[in-house]
Amino acid sequence: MEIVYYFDNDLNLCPVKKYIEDYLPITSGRNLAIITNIDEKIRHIQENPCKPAGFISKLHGYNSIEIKHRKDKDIVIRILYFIHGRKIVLLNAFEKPDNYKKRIEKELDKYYLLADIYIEKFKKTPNFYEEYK
Amino acid sequence: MKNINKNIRTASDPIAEARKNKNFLLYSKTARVTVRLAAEVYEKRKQREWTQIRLAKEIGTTQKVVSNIEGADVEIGIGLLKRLVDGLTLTTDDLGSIFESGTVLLNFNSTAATKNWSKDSVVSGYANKSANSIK
Repeated sequence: MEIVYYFDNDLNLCPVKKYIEDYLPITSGRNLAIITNIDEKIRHIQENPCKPAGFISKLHGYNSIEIKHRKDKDIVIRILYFIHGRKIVLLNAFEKPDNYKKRIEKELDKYYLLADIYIEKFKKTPNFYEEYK
Repeated sequence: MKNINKNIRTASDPIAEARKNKNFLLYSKTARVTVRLAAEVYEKRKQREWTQIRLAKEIGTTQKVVSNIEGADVEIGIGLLKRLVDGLTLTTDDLGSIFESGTVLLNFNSTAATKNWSKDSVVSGYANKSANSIK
């Protein structure tokens, strides 16, 4: 399986790549730990694409799958992806607080809806991606 | 670059950038073990049809800790690892795949089984082999 970043032509960027870039340049061990942990989780999915794990969730009512990584005591990083043929397509990433209210829940739903839009866009233009190295 | 869209002009891959850090390999190895342990614990627990609460009771911890282990969000200590090994009956094969260093363990396990060695003699055999390899 090949891992790729979804490229959004309207935004002119890869949302997941943009999110990970926020941890660069690496100025602390904490940032390096976050990046390496996310990287290893993605690589684990590459090696075991159909195997369920505690850090992966299939989303109810949405077409993307999420990778979870606890950033802080109360914040979890969510990376949304989907599998298209032989590609694992990284769609979007965001941070979700553990204890959130209804208003925030609606805002978070937007990320999942957006990921579904990205899936449809990718299916129409499957060459719009960048390699994950 | 497989991307055929000529308009795409984004920065280099952030993971590739992070890999230039001198500590990347060290952190990466730790993360790999944490992720593999997480996957193994999740799989074994599901095979037993246990909830996280049940596993937590078996190994004397809390559901939150089990959730963090399965989420690969925590590096656990040797005491908890031992309890996980016992609670989920993890084999040397399982540990070998988690730590990517099962060869010696597996060799001793099969040698011990063939020669009918006791646990103590395996430990002393391992110590001798280690001492010899240092020499």
